Amino acid sequence: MYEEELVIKIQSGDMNALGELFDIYKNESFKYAYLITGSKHTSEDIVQEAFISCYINIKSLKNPEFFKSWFFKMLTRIAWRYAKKDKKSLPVDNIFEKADEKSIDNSIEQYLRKEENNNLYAEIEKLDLKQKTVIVLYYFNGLTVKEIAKIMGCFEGTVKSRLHSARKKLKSSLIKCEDEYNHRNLKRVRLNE
Amino acid sequence: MNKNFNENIDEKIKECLIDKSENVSVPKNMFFKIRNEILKEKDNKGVFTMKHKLLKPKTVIIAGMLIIATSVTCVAATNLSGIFGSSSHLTETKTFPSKDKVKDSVGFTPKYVESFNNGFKFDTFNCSNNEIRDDKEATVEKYKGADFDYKKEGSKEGQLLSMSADKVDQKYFGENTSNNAVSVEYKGIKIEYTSNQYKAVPEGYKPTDEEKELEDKGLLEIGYGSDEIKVSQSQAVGWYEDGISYCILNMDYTELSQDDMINMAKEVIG
Repeated sequence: MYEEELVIKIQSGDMNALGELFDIYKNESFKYAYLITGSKHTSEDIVQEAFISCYINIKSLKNPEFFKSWFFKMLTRIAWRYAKKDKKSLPVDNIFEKADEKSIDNSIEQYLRKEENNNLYAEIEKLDLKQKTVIVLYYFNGLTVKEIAKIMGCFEGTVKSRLHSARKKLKSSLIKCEDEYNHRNLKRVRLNE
Repeated sequence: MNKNFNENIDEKIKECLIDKSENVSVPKNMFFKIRNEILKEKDNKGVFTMKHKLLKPKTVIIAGMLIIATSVTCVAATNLSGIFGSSSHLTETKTFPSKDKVKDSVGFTPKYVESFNNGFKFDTFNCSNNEIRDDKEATVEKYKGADFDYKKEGSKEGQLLSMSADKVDQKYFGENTSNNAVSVEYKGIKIEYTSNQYKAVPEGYKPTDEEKELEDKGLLEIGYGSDEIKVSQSQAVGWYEDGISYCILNMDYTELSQDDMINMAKEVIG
């Protein structure tokens, strides 16, 4: 209810209400943009553009109740545009981000866990943009298939199919990864013998 | 590596994404930047918005006219994003203005006529403030324009015949960008004629691929700033004379031919 009131206030030009709505969605939208693009700087641009666009176009939102899906639809379109633009080059910040992550971990357990997540994320990054979006919206943002379909402007069946094939790809690449790991370990054991 | 890595794939994906997202946090000054951008945007469009409120039905047309004018005569392979025009209802007059009155309003005296041979008669005069912006939305040129609207008996709502005269540097008038433009030479002046479909759309409208293709071919013009989407047929003639850019725009007077439009330009040139 509170969120809907904020939307109505923004529709009448209230910038403070936009600030409050920004506080509600800033983390979720920023992290979402980051998971889609893999770049902090690009994510800043995306979220900034999305909130500006939100303020300018919010009058077109007839039912404030649907703000989240309306906003995420806009955010997704902007993120896709940036992701396509950035596709050709790995952003500089991304390189540093990767280097930083490794140096942070101290314990072996933490390192292995991080390594697992990095491997899995590397596979997620290989998915095509729409599959990746479905995966992030479903697993990270915790949205339902119906909500995702609304945001992506497609049928629920399409979302289910993308989710299924993306999950299948991730699973098979992880199995492959584990096989390689086991094979390496086996080799090491034999050498030690 | 964890041997159960391929188990509980759902949990793994979720954990991985949460873990990855923890690498980033929202910059503290982000909303400040957003607010500034919005305020800047508002400043840029302040007058335009005012005109929107006061002159709602005509805003689209005027904005459209100015944008069309660019395709008729100018803004070739430059990095310009477009021409943004604004005028106020308060300065509009229904009395045919004297040359002095026009000069007082816009600072120059363009050529203009009270009526055309094909039955169009003067209806209103107004002055406009215009800006040419580059691809970074920075203003590269500001100039005044004189706008004359004409009507004829039986004119319907939504139909428009308007002539604009803008004092703008010739460097913004290069080769014709519209692929379907026709050029005619008259008394040493090049008159360029274009016809296309004009689509008035709200700010932030994203053209479809098909629309972009039509734009590239010069068959469609998109004008931003309307409250709703409205499609019209347009024809325009433009020319540059004595430091002034002229454009006669016809929207939805479908009975006018290419020759009719060019003849009107010739009447103004004299």
